[in-house]
Amino acid sequence: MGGPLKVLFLSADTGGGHRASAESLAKSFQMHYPGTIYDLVDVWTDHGGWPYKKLVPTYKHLSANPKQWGLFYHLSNNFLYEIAYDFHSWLTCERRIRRRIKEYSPDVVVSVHPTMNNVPLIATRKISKKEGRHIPFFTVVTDFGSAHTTWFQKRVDKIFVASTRLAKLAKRRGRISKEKLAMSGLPIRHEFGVHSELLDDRTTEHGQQYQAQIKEELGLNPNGKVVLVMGGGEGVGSLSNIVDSLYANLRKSGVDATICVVCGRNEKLKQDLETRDWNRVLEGSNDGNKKKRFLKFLRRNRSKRIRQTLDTIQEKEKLEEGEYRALGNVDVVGLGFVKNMAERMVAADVLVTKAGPGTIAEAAAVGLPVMLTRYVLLHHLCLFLFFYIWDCA
Amino acid sequence: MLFSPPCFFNFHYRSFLPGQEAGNVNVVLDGGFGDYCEDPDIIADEVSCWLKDSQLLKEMSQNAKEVGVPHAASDIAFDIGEATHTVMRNNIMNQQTAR
Repeated sequence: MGGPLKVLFLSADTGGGHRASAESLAKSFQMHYPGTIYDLVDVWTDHGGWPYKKLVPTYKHLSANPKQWGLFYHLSNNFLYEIAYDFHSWLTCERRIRRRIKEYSPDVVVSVHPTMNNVPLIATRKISKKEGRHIPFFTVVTDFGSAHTTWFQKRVDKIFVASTRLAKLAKRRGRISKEKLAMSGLPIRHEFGVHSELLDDRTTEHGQQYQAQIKEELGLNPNGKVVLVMGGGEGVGSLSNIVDSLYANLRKSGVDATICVVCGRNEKLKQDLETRDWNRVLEGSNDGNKKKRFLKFLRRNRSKRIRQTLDTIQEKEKLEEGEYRALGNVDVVGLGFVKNMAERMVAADVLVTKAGPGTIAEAAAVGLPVMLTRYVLLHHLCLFLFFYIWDCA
Repeated sequence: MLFSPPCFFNFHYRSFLPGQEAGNVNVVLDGGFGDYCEDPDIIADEVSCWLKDSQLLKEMSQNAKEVGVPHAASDIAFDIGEATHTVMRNNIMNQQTAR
Protein backbone atom coordinates (compact mmCIF):
# COMPACT_ATOMS: atom_id res chain seq x y z
CA MET A 1 0.00 0.00 0.00
CA GLY A 2 1.43 3.37 -1.05
CA GLY A 3 1.47 6.75 0.67
CA PRO A 4 -0.86 9.72 0.32
CA LEU A 5 -1.69 11.06 -3.12
CA LYS A 6 -2.51 14.42 -4.63
CA VAL A 7 -5.56 13.89 -6.83
CA LEU A 8 -7.11 16.35 -9.25
CA PHE A 9 -10.72 15.60 -10.15
CA LEU A 10 -12.25 17.19 -13.23
CA SER A 11 -15.99 17.72 -13.02
CA ALA A 12 -18.76 20.31 -13.28
CA ASP A 13 -22.12 20.92 -11.66
CA THR A 14 -24.08 19.57 -14.59
CA GLY A 15 -26.35 17.15 -12.78
CA GLY A 16 -25.67 15.77 -9.33
CA GLY A 17 -24.02 12.55 -10.49
CA HIS A 18 -20.61 13.82 -11.56
CA ARG A 19 -19.79 15.70 -8.37
CA ALA A 20 -21.23 12.92 -6.18
CA SER A 21 -19.04 10.36 -7.97
CA ALA A 22 -15.97 12.54 -7.52
CA GLU A 23 -16.71 13.05 -3.80
CA SER A 24 -17.28 9.33 -3.37
CA LEU A 25 -13.99 8.50 -5.11
CA ALA A 26 -12.17 11.14 -3.04
CA LYS A 27 -13.45 9.56 0.17
CA SER A 28 -12.30 6.15 -1.00
CA PHE A 29 -8.84 7.54 -1.87
CA GLN A 30 -8.56 8.96 1.63
CA MET A 31 -9.57 5.62 3.13
CA HIS A 32 -7.07 3.60 1.09
CA TYR A 33 -4.29 6.21 1.21
CA PRO A 34 -4.68 8.29 4.41
CA GLY A 35 -3.48 11.86 4.06
CA THR A 36 -4.55 12.07 0.40
CA ILE A 37 -5.53 15.56 -0.68
CA TYR A 38 -7.69 16.42 -3.65
CA ASP A 39 -9.22 19.28 -5.56
CA LEU A 40 -12.28 19.32 -7.77
CA VAL A 41 -11.96 21.63 -10.74
CA ASP A 42 -14.45 22.72 -13.37
CA VAL A 43 -11.96 23.64 -16.08
CA TRP A 44 -14.56 25.16 -18.39
CA THR A 45 -16.24 27.53 -15.95
CA ASP A 46 -12.94 28.67 -14.43
CA HIS A 47 -10.60 28.61 -17.43
CA GLY A 48 -12.64 28.06 -20.57
CA GLY A 49 -13.44 30.53 -23.32
CA TRP A 50 -16.87 31.11 -24.82
CA PRO A 51 -19.07 29.01 -25.18
CA TYR A 52 -17.42 26.51 -22.81
CA LYS A 53 -17.46 28.79 -19.77
CA LYS A 54 -21.26 28.83 -20.04
CA LEU A 55 -21.44 25.06 -19.54
CA VAL A 56 -23.24 25.09 -16.17
CA PRO A 57 -25.94 27.69 -16.97
CA THR A 58 -26.48 26.06 -20.38
CA TYR A 59 -26.95 22.68 -18.75
CA LYS A 60 -29.40 24.15 -16.25
CA HIS A 61 -31.44 25.61 -19.09
CA LEU A 62 -31.38 22.39 -21.10
CA SER A 63 -32.25 20.16 -18.14
CA ALA A 64 -35.32 22.34 -17.56
CA ASN A 65 -36.24 21.85 -21.24
CA PRO A 66 -35.95 18.11 -21.91
CA LYS A 67 -36.92 18.46 -25.57
CA GLN A 68 -34.03 20.83 -26.27
CA TRP A 69 -31.68 18.68 -24.20
CA GLY A 70 -32.66 15.58 -26.17
CA LEU A 71 -32.14 17.37 -29.48
CA PHE A 72 -28.76 18.78 -28.41
CA TYR A 73 -27.63 15.41 -27.06
CA HIS A 74 -28.52 13.45 -30.19
CA LEU A 75 -27.14 16.06 -32.59
CA SER A 76 -23.84 16.32 -30.71
CA ASN A 77 -23.39 12.61 -30.07
CA ASN A 78 -21.40 11.86 -33.22
CA PHE A 79 -17.90 11.76 -34.64
CA LEU A 80 -18.09 15.03 -36.60
CA TYR A 81 -19.19 17.03 -33.57
CA GLU A 82 -16.43 15.43 -31.54
CA ILE A 83 -13.74 16.47 -34.02
CA ALA A 84 -15.02 20.06 -34.26
CA TYR A 85 -15.46 20.36 -30.48
CA ASP A 86 -12.05 18.84 -29.69
CA PHE A 87 -10.26 21.10 -32.15
CA HIS A 88 -12.00 24.33 -31.15
CA SER A 89 -11.72 23.77 -27.40
CA TRP A 90 -8.05 22.78 -27.77
CA LEU A 91 -7.32 25.92 -29.79
CA THR A 92 -9.07 28.31 -27.43
CA CYS A 93 -8.63 26.85 -23.94
CA GLU A 94 -5.75 24.35 -23.73
CA ARG A 95 -3.09 26.80 -22.54
CA ARG A 96 -5.17 28.12 -19.61
CA ILE A 97 -6.23 24.62 -18.57
CA ARG A 98 -2.60 23.45 -18.70
CA ARG A 99 -1.57 26.34 -16.46
CA ARG A 100 -4.25 25.36 -13.94
CA ILE A 101 -3.25 21.69 -13.84
CA LYS A 102 0.44 22.63 -13.58
CA GLU A 103 -0.30 24.99 -10.69
CA TYR A 104 -1.90 22.19 -8.68
CA SER A 105 0.86 19.70 -9.63
CA PRO A 106 -1.19 16.53 -9.12
CA ASP A 107 0.09 12.95 -8.88
CA VAL A 108 -2.94 11.80 -10.86
CA VAL A 109 -5.81 13.39 -12.83
CA VAL A 110 -9.27 11.77 -12.74
CA SER A 111 -12.02 12.98 -15.07
CA VAL A 112 -15.63 12.22 -14.13
CA HIS A 113 -17.18 14.47 -16.77
CA PRO A 114 -17.83 13.79 -20.48
CA THR A 115 -16.54 17.18 -21.62
CA MET A 116 -13.26 17.05 -19.67
CA ASN A 117 -11.32 14.30 -21.34
CA ASN A 118 -9.68 15.53 -24.53
CA VAL A 119 -8.22 18.98 -23.78
CA PRO A 120 -7.26 18.28 -20.13
CA LEU A 121 -5.62 15.04 -21.34
CA ILE A 122 -3.57 16.93 -23.94
CA ALA A 123 -2.60 19.48 -21.28
CA THR A 124 -1.59 16.74 -18.81
CA ARG A 125 0.52 14.96 -21.43
CA LYS A 126 2.32 18.23 -22.25
CA ILE A 127 3.08 18.84 -18.55
CA SER A 128 4.35 15.25 -18.23
CA LYS A 129 6.68 15.76 -21.16
CA LYS A 130 8.00 19.07 -19.88
CA GLU A 131 8.52 17.93 -16.30
CA GLY A 132 9.91 14.52 -17.23
CA ARG A 133 7.42 12.65 -15.04
CA HIS A 134 4.36 10.82 -16.21
CA ILE A 135 1.10 12.10 -14.69
CA PRO A 136 -1.52 9.38 -15.20
CA PHE A 137 -4.94 10.41 -16.50
CA PHE A 138 -8.00 8.28 -15.78
CA THR A 139 -11.62 8.59 -16.90
CA VAL A 140 -14.45 7.26 -14.76
CA VAL A 141 -17.65 7.20 -16.82
CA THR A 142 -20.53 8.22 -14.57
CA ASP A 143 -23.26 7.12 -16.97
CA PHE A 144 -24.84 3.71 -16.91
CA GLY A 145 -26.62 2.47 -20.01
CA SER A 146 -25.31 4.82 -22.68
CA ALA A 147 -22.72 7.56 -22.82
CA HIS A 148 -21.80 10.51 -24.99
CA THR A 149 -19.03 10.03 -27.51
CA THR A 150 -16.80 12.66 -25.82
CA TRP A 151 -16.27 10.33 -22.83
CA PHE A 152 -13.94 8.03 -24.74
CA GLN A 153 -10.34 9.07 -25.41
CA LYS A 154 -8.01 6.25 -26.32
CA ARG A 155 -4.87 7.97 -24.95
CA VAL A 156 -6.03 7.88 -21.31
CA ASP A 157 -4.22 5.50 -18.95
CA LYS A 158 -7.43 3.65 -18.13
CA ILE A 159 -11.16 4.14 -18.49
CA PHE A 160 -13.66 2.77 -15.98
CA VAL A 161 -17.17 1.88 -17.15
CA ALA A 162 -20.22 0.63 -15.27
CA SER A 163 -21.86 -1.80 -17.67
CA THR A 164 -21.17 -4.18 -20.55
CA ARG A 165 -23.17 -1.83 -22.78
CA LEU A 166 -20.69 0.96 -22.09
CA ALA A 167 -17.72 -1.35 -22.50
CA LYS A 168 -18.97 -2.22 -25.99
CA LEU A 169 -19.57 1.46 -26.74
CA ALA A 170 -16.07 2.39 -25.57
CA LYS A 171 -14.53 -0.25 -27.84
CA ARG A 172 -16.67 0.71 -30.80
CA ARG A 173 -16.69 4.49 -30.54
CA GLY A 174 -13.53 5.34 -28.67
CA ARG A 175 -11.49 2.41 -29.99
CA ILE A 176 -10.36 1.83 -26.44
CA SER A 177 -8.18 -1.27 -26.17
CA LYS A 178 -9.09 -4.11 -23.81
CA GLU A 179 -6.12 -3.39 -21.52
CA LYS A 180 -7.27 0.18 -20.93
CA LEU A 181 -10.88 -0.75 -20.22
CA ALA A 182 -12.06 -1.70 -16.72
CA MET A 183 -15.56 -2.88 -15.77
CA SER A 184 -16.09 -1.39 -12.35
CA GLY A 185 -19.66 -0.39 -11.60
CA LEU A 186 -20.72 3.19 -10.95
CA PRO A 187 -18.97 4.95 -8.03
CA ILE A 188 -21.76 5.50 -5.50
CA ARG A 189 -21.80 6.97 -2.01
CA HIS A 190 -19.82 5.11 0.64
CA GLU A 191 -22.82 4.62 2.96
CA PHE A 192 -24.52 2.46 0.34
CA GLY A 193 -21.62 0.03 0.55
CA VAL A 194 -21.93 -0.02 4.35
CA HIS A 195 -25.70 -0.61 4.30
CA SER A 196 -25.44 -3.13 1.49
CA GLU A 197 -23.14 -5.25 3.68
CA LEU A 198 -25.38 -4.91 6.74
CA LEU A 199 -28.52 -5.67 4.76
CA ASP A 200 -26.88 -8.38 2.64
CA ASP A 201 -29.94 -9.86 0.88
CA ARG A 202 -33.25 -8.16 1.71
CA THR A 203 -35.18 -11.29 0.75
CA THR A 204 -33.62 -13.38 3.56
CA GLU A 205 -34.80 -13.41 7.18
CA HIS A 206 -31.75 -11.44 8.27
CA GLY A 207 -32.31 -8.86 5.51
CA GLN A 208 -35.97 -8.44 6.45
CA GLN A 209 -35.04 -7.98 10.11
CA TYR A 210 -32.50 -5.31 9.21
CA GLN A 211 -35.02 -3.56 6.95
CA ALA A 212 -37.65 -3.59 9.74
CA GLN A 213 -35.06 -2.15 12.15
CA ILE A 214 -34.24 0.70 9.76
CA LYS A 215 -37.96 1.34 9.20
CA GLU A 216 -38.44 1.68 12.95
CA GLU A 217 -35.45 4.01 13.26
CA LEU A 218 -37.01 6.22 10.60
CA GLY A 219 -40.34 6.24 12.39
CA LEU A 220 -42.08 4.05 9.80
CA ASN A 221 -44.38 1.08 10.33
CA PRO A 222 -42.02 -1.95 10.28
CA ASN A 223 -44.80 -4.24 8.99
CA GLY A 224 -46.11 -1.92 6.28
CA LYS A 225 -44.76 -1.42 2.77
CA VAL A 226 -42.78 1.70 1.89
CA VAL A 227 -42.76 3.40 -1.50
CA LEU A 228 -40.01 5.98 -1.93
CA VAL A 229 -40.74 8.64 -4.55
CA MET A 230 -37.89 10.85 -5.75
CA GLY A 231 -37.61 13.75 -8.17
CA GLY A 232 -39.33 16.49 -6.22
CA GLY A 233 -36.94 19.14 -7.45
CA GLU A 234 -38.67 19.10 -10.83
CA GLY A 235 -41.81 20.94 -9.79
CA VAL A 236 -45.18 20.14 -8.35
CA GLY A 237 -47.25 18.89 -11.30
CA SER A 238 -46.00 15.52 -12.49
CA LEU A 239 -44.69 14.14 -9.21
CA SER A 240 -47.77 15.26 -7.36
CA ASN A 241 -49.99 13.35 -9.81
CA ILE A 242 -47.94 10.20 -9.29
CA VAL A 243 -48.30 10.50 -5.51
CA ASP A 244 -52.08 11.02 -5.85
CA SER A 245 -52.46 7.97 -8.07
CA LEU A 246 -50.28 5.86 -5.79
CA TYR A 247 -52.28 6.91 -2.73
CA ALA A 248 -55.64 6.13 -4.32
CA ASN A 249 -54.52 2.85 -5.86
CA LEU A 250 -52.83 1.49 -2.74
CA ARG A 251 -55.80 2.39 -0.57
CA LYS A 252 -58.29 0.79 -2.95
CA SER A 253 -56.10 -2.31 -3.27
CA GLY A 254 -56.03 -2.72 0.50
CA VAL A 255 -52.23 -2.33 0.77
CA ASP A 256 -50.92 -0.83 4.03
CA ALA A 257 -48.12 1.47 2.98
CA THR A 258 -46.24 4.70 3.56
CA ILE A 259 -45.39 6.85 0.55
CA CYS A 260 -42.24 8.84 1.31
CA VAL A 261 -41.79 11.71 -1.14
CA VAL A 262 -38.35 13.30 -1.36
CA CYS A 263 -39.15 16.93 -2.16
CA GLY A 264 -35.58 18.27 -1.84
CA ARG A 265 -35.56 22.03 -1.89
CA ASN A 266 -39.09 22.08 -3.30
CA GLU A 267 -40.83 23.55 -0.22
CA LYS A 268 -43.97 24.20 -2.23
CA LEU A 269 -44.48 20.51 -2.95
CA LYS A 270 -43.75 19.55 0.67
CA GLN A 271 -46.33 22.01 1.98
CA ASP A 272 -48.77 20.95 -0.69
CA LEU A 273 -48.51 17.29 0.38
CA GLU A 274 -48.89 18.19 4.06
CA THR A 275 -52.11 20.12 3.52
CA ARG A 276 -53.72 17.94 0.83
CA ASP A 277 -57.22 16.56 1.38
CA TRP A 278 -56.49 12.85 0.79
CA ASN A 279 -60.14 11.77 1.00
CA ARG A 280 -60.85 14.02 -1.92
CA VAL A 281 -57.94 12.48 -3.82
CA LEU A 282 -59.44 9.03 -3.19
CA GLU A 283 -62.90 10.11 -4.36
CA GLY A 284 -61.58 11.84 -7.45
CA SER A 285 -59.39 8.97 -8.64
CA ASN A 286 -60.17 6.69 -11.60
CA ASP A 287 -58.75 3.25 -12.24
CA GLY A 288 -57.11 4.20 -15.53
CA ASN A 289 -58.40 1.09 -17.33
CA LYS A 290 -58.96 2.86 -20.63
CA LYS A 291 -55.45 4.30 -20.59
CA LYS A 292 -54.07 0.91 -19.63
CA ARG A 293 -55.65 -0.70 -22.67
CA PHE A 294 -54.54 2.17 -24.94
CA LEU A 295 -50.93 2.08 -23.77
CA LYS A 296 -50.66 -1.70 -23.53
CA PHE A 297 -48.86 -2.05 -26.86
CA LEU A 298 -46.14 0.34 -25.69
CA ARG A 299 -45.11 -2.04 -22.96
CA ARG A 300 -43.72 -4.84 -25.08
CA ASN A 301 -40.21 -4.55 -23.58
CA ARG A 302 -41.37 -5.12 -20.02
CA SER A 303 -39.90 -8.27 -18.47
CA LYS A 304 -41.97 -11.45 -18.83
CA ARG A 305 -42.05 -11.98 -15.09
CA ILE A 306 -43.55 -8.52 -14.39
CA ARG A 307 -46.09 -8.94 -17.19
CA GLN A 308 -47.10 -12.30 -15.76
CA THR A 309 -47.81 -10.79 -12.33
CA LEU A 310 -49.77 -7.88 -13.79
CA ASP A 311 -51.89 -10.21 -15.88
CA THR A 312 -52.58 -12.54 -12.94
CA ILE A 313 -53.56 -9.69 -10.64
CA GLN A 314 -55.72 -8.03 -13.28
CA GLU A 315 -57.57 -11.30 -13.91
CA LYS A 316 -58.05 -11.75 -10.17
CA GLU A 317 -59.39 -8.22 -9.89
CA LYS A 318 -61.86 -8.87 -12.71
CA LEU A 319 -63.23 -11.89 -10.85
CA GLU A 320 -63.50 -9.93 -7.62
CA GLU A 321 -65.15 -6.92 -9.29
CA GLY A 322 -68.03 -5.59 -7.24
CA GLU A 323 -66.96 -7.44 -4.08
CA TYR A 324 -66.24 -5.41 -0.94
CA ARG A 325 -62.57 -4.82 -0.22
CA ALA A 326 -61.22 -3.15 2.92
CA LEU A 327 -59.27 0.03 2.24
CA GLY A 328 -55.56 0.01 3.03
CA ASN A 329 -53.93 2.37 5.50
CA VAL A 330 -51.78 4.70 3.46
CA ASP A 331 -49.72 7.62 4.78
CA VAL A 332 -47.96 10.21 2.66
CA VAL A 333 -44.83 11.76 4.14
CA GLY A 334 -43.17 14.75 2.47
CA LEU A 335 -39.43 14.81 3.12
CA GLY A 336 -37.20 17.82 2.61
CA PHE A 337 -33.52 17.50 1.76
CA VAL A 338 -32.59 13.90 2.67
CA LYS A 339 -29.08 13.19 3.95
CA ASN A 340 -29.62 9.53 4.91
CA MET A 341 -30.60 8.33 1.45
CA ALA A 342 -29.00 4.90 1.93
CA GLU A 343 -31.22 4.24 4.96
CA ARG A 344 -34.27 5.52 3.10
CA MET A 345 -33.56 3.11 0.24
CA VAL A 346 -33.00 0.19 2.62
CA ALA A 347 -36.36 0.94 4.28
CA ALA A 348 -38.18 1.20 0.95
CA ASP A 349 -39.78 -1.73 -0.89
CA VAL A 350 -40.12 0.08 -4.23
CA LEU A 351 -38.45 3.23 -5.56
CA VAL A 352 -40.20 5.54 -8.02
CA THR A 353 -37.66 7.86 -9.63
CA LYS A 354 -36.44 9.39 -12.87
CA ALA A 355 -33.83 7.53 -14.88
CA GLY A 356 -30.66 9.02 -13.34
CA PRO A 357 -27.63 6.70 -13.38
CA GLY A 358 -26.53 7.39 -9.78
CA THR A 359 -29.94 6.68 -8.27
CA ILE A 360 -30.34 3.46 -10.27
CA ALA A 361 -26.87 2.26 -9.22
CA GLU A 362 -27.58 3.10 -5.57
CA ALA A 363 -30.94 1.30 -5.64
CA ALA A 364 -29.34 -1.75 -7.26
CA ALA A 365 -26.63 -1.80 -4.59
CA VAL A 366 -29.26 -2.32 -1.86
CA GLY A 367 -31.45 -4.63 -3.98
CA LEU A 368 -34.31 -2.18 -4.39
CA PRO A 369 -36.76 -2.62 -7.33
CA VAL A 370 -37.32 0.60 -9.27
CA MET A 371 -40.12 2.14 -11.29
CA LEU A 372 -38.57 4.70 -13.63
CA THR A 373 -40.60 7.63 -14.79
CA ARG A 374 -40.47 10.99 -16.40
CA TYR A 375 -43.04 13.64 -17.09
CA VAL A 376 -44.20 13.05 -20.63
CA LEU A 377 -45.61 15.81 -22.77
CA LEU A 378 -48.27 15.26 -25.40
CA HIS A 379 -45.98 16.29 -28.25
CA HIS A 380 -43.46 13.64 -27.15
CA LEU A 381 -46.15 10.99 -27.38
CA CYS A 382 -47.26 12.23 -30.82
CA LEU A 383 -43.62 12.22 -31.97
CA PHE A 384 -43.24 8.67 -30.72
CA LEU A 385 -46.43 7.48 -32.41
CA PHE A 386 -45.25 9.00 -35.69
CA PHE A 387 -41.87 7.24 -35.52
CA TYR A 388 -43.41 4.01 -34.23
CA ILE A 389 -45.78 3.80 -37.19
CA TRP A 390 -42.97 4.81 -39.58
CA ASP A 391 -40.71 2.10 -38.18
CA CYS A 392 -43.42 -0.55 -38.43
CA ALA A 393 -44.32 0.42 -41.99
CA MET B 1 -35.83 0.43 -41.95
CA LEU B 2 -32.13 1.20 -41.57
CA PHE B 3 -32.49 4.76 -42.81
CA SER B 4 -35.79 5.45 -41.15
CA PRO B 5 -35.77 8.42 -38.76
CA PRO B 6 -35.92 6.26 -35.62
CA CYS B 7 -32.70 4.52 -36.58
CA PHE B 8 -31.00 7.71 -37.68
CA PHE B 9 -31.74 9.60 -34.48
CA ASN B 10 -31.40 6.55 -32.27
CA PHE B 11 -35.05 6.92 -31.33
CA HIS B 12 -36.74 3.94 -29.80
CA TYR B 13 -40.00 3.47 -28.09
CA ARG B 14 -38.54 5.17 -25.04
CA SER B 15 -37.43 8.06 -27.19
CA PHE B 16 -39.14 10.73 -25.12
CA LEU B 17 -36.33 10.34 -22.62
CA PRO B 18 -33.75 12.99 -23.27
CA GLY B 19 -30.12 12.11 -23.92
CA GLN B 20 -28.47 9.28 -22.12
CA GLU B 21 -31.41 8.44 -19.85
CA ALA B 22 -32.84 5.99 -22.39
CA GLY B 23 -29.77 3.80 -21.88
CA ASN B 24 -30.28 3.83 -18.12
CA VAL B 25 -33.81 2.49 -18.63
CA ASN B 26 -32.38 -0.41 -20.61
CA VAL B 27 -30.12 -1.31 -17.69
CA VAL B 28 -33.16 -1.63 -15.43
CA LEU B 29 -35.32 -3.50 -17.95
CA ASP B 30 -32.58 -5.87 -19.06
CA GLY B 31 -31.56 -6.38 -15.43
CA GLY B 32 -35.14 -7.37 -14.59
CA PHE B 33 -35.41 -5.20 -11.50
CA GLY B 34 -37.96 -2.64 -12.60
CA ASP B 35 -39.98 -1.01 -15.30
CA TYR B 36 -40.41 2.34 -17.04
CA CYS B 37 -43.64 4.30 -17.35
CA GLU B 38 -44.76 7.94 -17.49
CA ASP B 39 -48.45 7.70 -16.77
CA PRO B 40 -49.24 8.24 -13.05
CA ASP B 41 -52.26 5.87 -13.08
CA ILE B 42 -50.33 3.05 -14.67
CA ILE B 43 -47.32 3.63 -12.41
CA ALA B 44 -49.63 3.36 -9.39
CA ASP B 45 -51.30 0.27 -10.79
CA GLU B 46 -48.03 -1.48 -11.43
CA VAL B 47 -46.38 -0.52 -8.12
CA SER B 48 -49.48 -1.73 -6.32
CA CYS B 49 -49.25 -5.09 -8.18
CA TRP B 50 -45.59 -5.45 -7.24
CA LEU B 51 -46.32 -4.83 -3.57
CA LYS B 52 -49.02 -7.51 -3.61
CA ASP B 53 -46.69 -10.13 -5.09
CA SER B 54 -43.91 -10.75 -2.57
CA GLN B 55 -42.33 -13.42 -4.79
CA LEU B 56 -41.97 -10.88 -7.63
CA LEU B 57 -40.43 -8.32 -5.27
CA LYS B 58 -38.01 -10.96 -4.08
CA GLU B 59 -36.96 -11.86 -7.62
CA MET B 60 -36.58 -8.21 -8.62
CA SER B 61 -34.52 -7.51 -5.52
CA GLN B 62 -32.18 -10.39 -6.29
CA ASN B 63 -31.86 -9.20 -9.89
CA ALA B 64 -31.03 -5.69 -8.65
CA LYS B 65 -28.32 -7.08 -6.39
CA GLU B 66 -26.71 -8.76 -9.39
CA VAL B 67 -26.49 -5.42 -11.21
CA GLY B 68 -25.40 -3.38 -8.18
CA VAL B 69 -21.75 -2.86 -7.29
CA PRO B 70 -21.84 -1.32 -3.79
CA HIS B 71 -18.07 -0.97 -3.45
CA ALA B 72 -17.36 0.36 -6.93
CA ALA B 73 -15.88 3.66 -5.66
CA SER B 74 -13.49 1.85 -3.34
CA ASP B 75 -12.40 -0.60 -6.06
CA ILE B 76 -11.81 2.19 -8.58
CA ALA B 77 -9.89 4.35 -6.09
CA PHE B 78 -7.68 1.40 -5.15
CA ASP B 79 -7.05 0.52 -8.78
CA ILE B 80 -6.15 4.12 -9.68
CA GLY B 81 -4.09 4.55 -6.50
CA GLU B 82 -1.98 1.43 -7.14
CA ALA B 83 -1.44 2.37 -10.80
CA THR B 84 -0.41 5.90 -9.75
CA HIS B 85 2.08 4.59 -7.19
CA THR B 86 3.61 2.34 -9.83
CA VAL B 87 3.93 5.33 -12.17
CA MET B 88 5.44 7.45 -9.39
CA ARG B 89 8.04 4.77 -8.64
CA ASN B 90 8.89 4.52 -12.34
CA ASN B 91 9.19 8.31 -12.53
CA ILE B 92 11.74 8.33 -9.67
CA MET B 93 13.70 5.50 -11.27
CA ASN B 94 13.73 7.26 -14.63
CA GLN B 95 14.91 10.52 -13.04
CA GLN B 96 17.71 8.68 -11.18
CA THR B 97 18.81 6.94 -14.39
CA ALA B 98 18.81 10.27 -16.24
CA ARG B 99 21.18 11.76 -13.63
